[in-house]
Amino acid sequence: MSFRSKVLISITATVFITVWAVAWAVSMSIERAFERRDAERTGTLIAQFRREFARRGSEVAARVDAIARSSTVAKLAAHLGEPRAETSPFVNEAQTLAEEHSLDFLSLVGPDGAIISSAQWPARFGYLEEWLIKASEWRQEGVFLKREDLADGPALGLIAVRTIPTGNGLLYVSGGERMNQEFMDSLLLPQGMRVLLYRNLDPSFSSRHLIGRFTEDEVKRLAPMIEEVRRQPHEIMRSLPDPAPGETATLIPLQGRGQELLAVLLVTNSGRDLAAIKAQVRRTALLVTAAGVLFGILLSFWTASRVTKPIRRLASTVREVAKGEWSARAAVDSKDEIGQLAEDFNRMTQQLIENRERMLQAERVAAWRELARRLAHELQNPLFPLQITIENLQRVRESSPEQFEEVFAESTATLLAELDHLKAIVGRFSDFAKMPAPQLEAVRINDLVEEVMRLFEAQAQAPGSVRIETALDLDEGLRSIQADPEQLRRALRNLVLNAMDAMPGGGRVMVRTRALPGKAAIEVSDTGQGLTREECDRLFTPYYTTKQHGTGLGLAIVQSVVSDHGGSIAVESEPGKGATFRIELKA
Amino acid sequence: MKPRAWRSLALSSVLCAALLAAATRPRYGGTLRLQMPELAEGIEPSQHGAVVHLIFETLIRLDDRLQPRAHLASGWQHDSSFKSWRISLRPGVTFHDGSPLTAASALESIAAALPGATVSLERQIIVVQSESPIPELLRDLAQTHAAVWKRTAEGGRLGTGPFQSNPGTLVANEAYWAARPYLDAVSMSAAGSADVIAVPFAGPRRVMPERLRIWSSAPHELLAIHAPELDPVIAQALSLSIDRPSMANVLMQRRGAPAWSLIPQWISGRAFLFETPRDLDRARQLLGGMRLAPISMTYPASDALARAVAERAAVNARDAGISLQLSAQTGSAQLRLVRLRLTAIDPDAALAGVAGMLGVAAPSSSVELYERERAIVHTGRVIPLLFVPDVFAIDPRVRGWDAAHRSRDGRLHLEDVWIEP
Repeated sequence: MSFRSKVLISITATVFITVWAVAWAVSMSIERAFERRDAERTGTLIAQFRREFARRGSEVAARVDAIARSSTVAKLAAHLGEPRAETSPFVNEAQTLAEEHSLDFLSLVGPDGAIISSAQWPARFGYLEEWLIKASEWRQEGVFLKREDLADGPALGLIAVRTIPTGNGLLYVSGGERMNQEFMDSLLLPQGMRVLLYRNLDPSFSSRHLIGRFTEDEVKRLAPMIEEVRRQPHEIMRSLPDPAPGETATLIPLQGRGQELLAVLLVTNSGRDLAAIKAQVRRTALLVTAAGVLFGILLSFWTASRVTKPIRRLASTVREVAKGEWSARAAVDSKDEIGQLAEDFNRMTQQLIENRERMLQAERVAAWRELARRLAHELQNPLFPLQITIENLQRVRESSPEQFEEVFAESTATLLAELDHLKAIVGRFSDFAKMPAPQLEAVRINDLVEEVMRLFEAQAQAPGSVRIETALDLDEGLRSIQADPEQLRRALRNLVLNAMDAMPGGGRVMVRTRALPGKAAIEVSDTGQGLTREECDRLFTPYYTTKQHGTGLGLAIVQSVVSDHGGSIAVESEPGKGATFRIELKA
Repeated sequence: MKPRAWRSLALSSVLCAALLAAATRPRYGGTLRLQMPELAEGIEPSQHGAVVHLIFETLIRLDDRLQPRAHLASGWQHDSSFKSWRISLRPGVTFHDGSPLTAASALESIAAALPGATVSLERQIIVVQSESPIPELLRDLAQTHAAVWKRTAEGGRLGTGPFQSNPGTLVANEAYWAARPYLDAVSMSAAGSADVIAVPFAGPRRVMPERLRIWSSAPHELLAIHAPELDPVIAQALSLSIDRPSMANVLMQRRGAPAWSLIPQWISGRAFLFETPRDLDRARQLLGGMRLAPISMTYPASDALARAVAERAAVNARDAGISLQLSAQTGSAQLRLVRLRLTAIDPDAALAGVAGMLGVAAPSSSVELYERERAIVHTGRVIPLLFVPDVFAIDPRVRGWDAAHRSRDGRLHLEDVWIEP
């Protein structure tokens, strides 16, 4: 990734994160403010519902009061005061009174707890209502919820009880309203509030006990909340799941006199306004964020271009210098750090040029010295026998002319041999100087390696020679490459010869081939005495050798061949651990 | 005391006696307003057991001692084996269209009432012949279903009774063979002011004018649960769970009577033998912890008493673990609450009538009455609940009511009632 891209991404990311963080913080702050306001509103609405609920309870109590004061009840109370009072004439009075006072439930119960008349279940006359006679101060009990068993199943009622003294005890008037859809519809609720009542009349949850204007889907979503309150009666507030955005439900357990859970009241408060505001805030935040990001990208693009332009020019100059264009200079347009860097680079380049010139001169001198030393060394050996032979001929002709012919013949052979030796030395130097351009053709590396190794195997296994073991590890997946087989064979020969020379006491030469991505690798390893780091560095320098009789051209020729094929050569070695030469060629 | 004073006293006494006699003497004319919702709202008088005899008469009637007395018949003869009967008709009787009652005109209705016998004419004599003895023929002919009628050209029926039926009204039969009824007409309504009001036992409370007096007949209706397909054990448990005295005392304000038998005590004299107090423990023991499915039961839709009784029965049954699901009389149900009007004061005829209305085969009349009744209760799965009387609120202007209804046959004898202006 380019420096410009990095700068662009960095600035864009910074702008995006900053804008998003600001937008999020503002959005959350606004939402929380509205949620606080909504919670306050919900609390107000629930309080209003409770007041309405209490008002309905007061109405029930007032109606029961009115019934308790009615002439019919007074007549019944008086009748009950008589000995062996017969209550059957009053069996239908509760229905009449309930209709007159708009009550759903009304029971007239005698001092013994037996129902005299029941509006909600007329047929239950004579049955006992023991819960009534267990308390006497019913007025203090107020209005309460109670489960009422009816002919068509249980029901829930808002009940008030009043007592009227008779001569034989108390007459109980228990009346109330049924908690049904009609009751719920009659509640005066604030706009946006809905109420659902779950009557807890069965041991398990049953949707048939739900009262309220809710869809089946809504009931399904509310059911788990009701179950939660049924398990543990306490008031909870929950957000309704989608698709009721922003609507909250407050679940209030409604308990009877014995603290038994008789109903769960669900008061839902429409959060449409809040949801709309939240959506608006979110939209605005998104727009601001998007605009910020867009602005950030543009700003980043401009900034990255401006900031990286001198760096890119400097990098371009560096690349030119790297390519060998030593005359390239970085433009200095400013006096800031980038400008200073360009000046420093130019200065460094100039110094590098000067140093390079100096190094080249030094290397040339060193090379010539090495060449001279090598030539001197190489030429000195044959020249010394020539000198001895000629001096011997001169001495024999002067001292023993009769033997001159014989000595001359022997000396001549020696002289010719040494001259051949000189010619060979000169030829090798000449060959190195005249390395031809490679003639490329398809070459199977493995075949070439096997061919070269066959030549050396015979030599290595010859009687009397040092015992050198050869081994091959060839990659069958290696394909043919474009190369000059002769030059490559020569280079490989030099490497193997070099390896064998490195093991005067015997050892093992291993040649490996490997198929690398886009490349072919050849490794030649030996188990010789190895090389020092300095030797490794100078190993491919022409005329450098660590051997007694080497010309220092073998590895230089190998490097020249590899280089002409666009490949590379490297050596890995440590003293005492052998050496490995690795050639990598384009596949 | 001087003779003059004695004379004055005697004269005053005669005048008072004359005035008193004048006050109690029946008078003709006037329309009696009868308030019976079932008559006003659908049931034809000719179909209602309480007034059908005012339109259609029978050849024979039973007197207070349940002895057959000639009514439209003037006399009868039978052979020694009771297989052949000869019945002569009362002369001077006319149908409501003025045509005379003859043996020929009565033949169709008599033959229809005696499906097991051969009915033929022998001049003005009706001859009834049967392959088996029919010693109770006269009692059979006293039943309502054996009334004499004549088919009209339109397919209707004409009777010979003291009143003839017009829509919503009974009009006096001026040519009635015995004596014209005192009333000119009887109008029937469901509400409003009336001279005679049928007092309901249940339903909305009605405020009766204080001047009205309450008159109650002998119980001659049976409220019972008919459960022909119910398991006998469950039927017995249901019967044991029901608190009949409470129904009679509270729902009927002590005017009715708990029923364990089909025929009331005052007719059969054996009803007490059926009496079984409520026994919830025994009922639960019979059910043995069975988990019963709800049992459906219907009751007559327009009958408030039947509904109240059904609801009470359901409450009682619940105590024993039996769930009754009530509905007004529509469709089929496992149980049926029925209200049966006893058509006779003769125990055998009454039992036969109940069996017929329930669709239960009555055992042979050779079996003792108690055994027959018991058999019908058990085989017919009948659970008697209440005997119900007719209760009327009667205006003091209506006279002759008590005397007219002395027979306690469950019929309204309006032909002997008159109304003071």
